[in-house]
Amino acid sequence: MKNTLFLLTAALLGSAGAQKVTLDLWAHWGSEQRRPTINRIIDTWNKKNPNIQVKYTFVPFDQLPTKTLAAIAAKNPPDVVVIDIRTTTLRAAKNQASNLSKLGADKLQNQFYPNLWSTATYKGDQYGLPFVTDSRFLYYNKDLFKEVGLNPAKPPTTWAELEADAKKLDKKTGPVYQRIGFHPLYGSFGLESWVSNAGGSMWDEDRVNPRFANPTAVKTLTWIKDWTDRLGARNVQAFKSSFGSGAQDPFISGKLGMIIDIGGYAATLKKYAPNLNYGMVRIPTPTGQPGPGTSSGGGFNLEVPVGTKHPKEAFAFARWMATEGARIWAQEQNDFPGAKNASLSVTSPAFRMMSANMKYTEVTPAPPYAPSYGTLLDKATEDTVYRGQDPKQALEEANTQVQRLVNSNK
Amino acid sequence: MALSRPEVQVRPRPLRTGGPRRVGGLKLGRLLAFAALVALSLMVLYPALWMVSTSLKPDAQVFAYPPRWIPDPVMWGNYAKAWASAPFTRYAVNSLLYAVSVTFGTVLSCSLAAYGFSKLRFPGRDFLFLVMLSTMMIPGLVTMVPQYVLFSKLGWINTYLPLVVPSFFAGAFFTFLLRQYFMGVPNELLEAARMDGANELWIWGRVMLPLTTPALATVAIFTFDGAWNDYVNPLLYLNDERLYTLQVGLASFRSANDTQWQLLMAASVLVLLPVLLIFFVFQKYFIEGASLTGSVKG
Repeated sequence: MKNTLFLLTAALLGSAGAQKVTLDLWAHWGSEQRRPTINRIIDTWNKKNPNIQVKYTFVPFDQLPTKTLAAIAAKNPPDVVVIDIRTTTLRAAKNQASNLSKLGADKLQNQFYPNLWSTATYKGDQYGLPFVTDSRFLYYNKDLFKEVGLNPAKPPTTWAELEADAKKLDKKTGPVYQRIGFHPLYGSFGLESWVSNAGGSMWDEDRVNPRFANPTAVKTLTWIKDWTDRLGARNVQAFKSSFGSGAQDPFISGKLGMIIDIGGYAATLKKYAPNLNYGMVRIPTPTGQPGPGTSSGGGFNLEVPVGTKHPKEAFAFARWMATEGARIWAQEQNDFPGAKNASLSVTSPAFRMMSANMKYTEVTPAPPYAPSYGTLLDKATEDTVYRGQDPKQALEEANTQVQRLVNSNK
Repeated sequence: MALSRPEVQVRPRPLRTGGPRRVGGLKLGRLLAFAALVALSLMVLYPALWMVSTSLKPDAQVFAYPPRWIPDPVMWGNYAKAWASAPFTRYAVNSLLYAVSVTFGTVLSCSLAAYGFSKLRFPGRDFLFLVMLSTMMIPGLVTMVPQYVLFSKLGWINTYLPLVVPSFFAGAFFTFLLRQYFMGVPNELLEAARMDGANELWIWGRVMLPLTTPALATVAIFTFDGAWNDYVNPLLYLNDERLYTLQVGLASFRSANDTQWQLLMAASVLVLLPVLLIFFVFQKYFIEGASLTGSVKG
């Protein structure tokens, strides 16, 4: 790998006539925890490539897509950007991300996890390289398991076991819940993730047209509704509002017995709750058997925005960043890299679990013609779960609205 | 912060009108009113107190339950750590320059425009005023990308020009606010100045502005506050981290999946201080201006 990189760099240096270029890299790492690592990665590259110098700029996470879009529209974009993995194909379709296949990206395919590689494939061509990802797990509090007489060595594997364990963990004083064992919509796993977990999908095969009211989706939403009804919709909402802003962590404080969160949550727990006795396992499925959509993930791709003045050099850097850079990143940060070799270079238990879980993790790209479908689907979910609407009817209504959106954007 | 106003207004009252000579019922009523006000202001202050409390916590107490209000140990070091984790001193200088120049530009241009709309007669004045008001109906997000492209074509990206220059072209809201206030100034005063041979610019500067300081102070404070807290615009137009402002710097404590709460809160407290200070120094003008009662009489 190092040799090919060296050759590649040498070739680039030769062809560029030793002319020095400076590449702009935008990403969202600005904290004192993240910055030293990205600086080290950039320094390593800059020392090896005196003629392709990279300048890193921190752009806050929530505004990075907006800022990048504006810069592309003004034809003054950065040369490489680390950006949301779910929306790469949207930028490909709108001619905002460069076609990397033309620069030779296709031969890199087998170096990356396939579920991640495909997030940046649009009409057979590649528009991004996976950098980091995540995968979700069920975290459960072993001490609370013991407290209520559950075996901490036997976490739930099916939906039925999950609900049975959760019931035991519920704790109520009068009408008020002190603790809720688990709720499917707490944590970062929504209706769509549960439908995938049950082996279904909310879309047709091409992920273009919504199929919200399919039997699996209706069944899943009904399951969540029944769960909520058992606890009381008001209780579920009131409980959620006590930790909704993120400044309180319900799992650390023992308000929840189990929660679904990303693999990196293990590092948060280590930092903020070093004494918490917890377990981290695969998310239960209806049958107990894992499938390709058992867990869900997100992450970041490296893209070369359309309009860069140095596409070749930008791609050379992006390629190095996605492989060698990702190795440094993985070793120093808790993010799971998209390049297989980089991920195997870290041997912590959490990383091994993540690596094993990749084939059960679905990273779903946003649907091309209705990227904002989420609010409509959330509304249907909440209308059903909290406001007593019929699951099938709510999903059908949302489906009609999203289909209208798709038709008008097509 | 604006919500601490009731407290400020109410406090002087008992000194003036209340006292031990009053009958018991009134005293009790006042006591109850105070108790209610204290309870309400505690509610309003709750997030601010929480911010200060979190800013002094060690890692393991940030999410402790039940919550601890007084951290143990008190981590004063969070402040130094937060300030040092990014070039915050530089950001502070940038924020200050940005806020001061925008405030100057806004007060200058809006008061000039408001003077024209309120005291000068010219054909099409009311129509133009209507057009200006209608620009308030267009949300900023809609014009964001075209505006960016425009400034990019002017070559202004990565400079403070797109942030500061527009403030010298009288925004609709503050022009409207000042116009309403200016209309309350009697024309006789202006006529007298005109008789003495003063031109309109002189009248604007020497008659109108001194008579309307509460309104101008209101505009200044709102503008300063707005620019100081502006997050999206600096972020959009500035590409060089050395040009970033405090608000952009604060975002560095947040990441995709984790937030360094105690450092974010410590830095937030520091960023909030100047605005608090300005409010306390100018609160007299601020309240007079906000209630729009200070028209000139006699």
